[in-house]
Amino acid sequence: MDQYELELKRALERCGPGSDFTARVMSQIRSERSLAADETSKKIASFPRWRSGVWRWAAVGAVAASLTLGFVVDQRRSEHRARIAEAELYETLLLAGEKISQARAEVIGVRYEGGAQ
Amino acid sequence: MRYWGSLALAMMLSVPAWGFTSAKLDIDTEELKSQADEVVEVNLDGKALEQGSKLLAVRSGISDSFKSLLGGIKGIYRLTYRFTLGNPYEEDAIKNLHRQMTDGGWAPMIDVQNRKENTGLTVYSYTSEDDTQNGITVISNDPSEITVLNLVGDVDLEALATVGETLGMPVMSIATTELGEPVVPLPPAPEDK
Repeated sequence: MDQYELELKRALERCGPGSDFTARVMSQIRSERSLAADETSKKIASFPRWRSGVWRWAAVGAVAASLTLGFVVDQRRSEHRARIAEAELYETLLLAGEKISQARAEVIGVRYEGGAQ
Repeated sequence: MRYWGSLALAMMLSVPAWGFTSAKLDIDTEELKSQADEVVEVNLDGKALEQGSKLLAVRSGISDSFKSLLGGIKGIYRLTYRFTLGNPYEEDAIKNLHRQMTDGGWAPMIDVQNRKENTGLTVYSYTSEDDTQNGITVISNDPSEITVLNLVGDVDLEALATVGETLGMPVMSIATTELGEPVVPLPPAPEDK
């Protein structure tokens, strides 16, 4: 049996887990559990800030303010459009009235002149 | 046979609607538009007309006849084309406008033409088959301007003429108004009473 074979035999030799194997496994499990718990607690610690009352009410306020602003702007625009429509309507009616009145006056004038001749 | 009956009934019911929509002027003015130096267009109907009428009706100094005039109007449309004296419109353009009116079923009520001054003023009316007036159109022209005014609905001509007479303003001072910036001052608002 040469040196290589001796080394191979030693490497493949069956050996026991040792007396502190269970303790080591349990210790490893405990440390991993505590690490996971730390991660979770960090996440939980940061999450409530967004869900706390202040932030919630701030979000509600922002939505309400933007809705109110949108409504007011829409009302203003609508009012402005109505005012323009009013001015255009009045102006066009006056123009039409003036033309009708002028046409009528011309017809009456022509008839009068015709009758006078 | 039943289907033909339904179709005939539907057509009979829709006849007044055809007549009414025809009172809204549908004429080709592209030629004039391309020649004009300035174009003013006013299209008021539906909600805009309703809102404008409501605001105008509550102003002080508005007579009852004017209010009833407002109530009868379903649409009001204006086209004004202005031309500089060095760039006059073609005479055929006016003839074409009048031809389109008569072809569209409009009847001239008043027609005043002044050949010397090259001005014209024609008032057309549109009546449906049941003899109700559905609208009027006024076409006026002078060397520098052509205006087409189309009023759809039951238009009280007497009330309209009274509006024009009481105002007593020269036509041109109104016609030079820019869209959205009225030169003609509106009557005072209700709070100004």
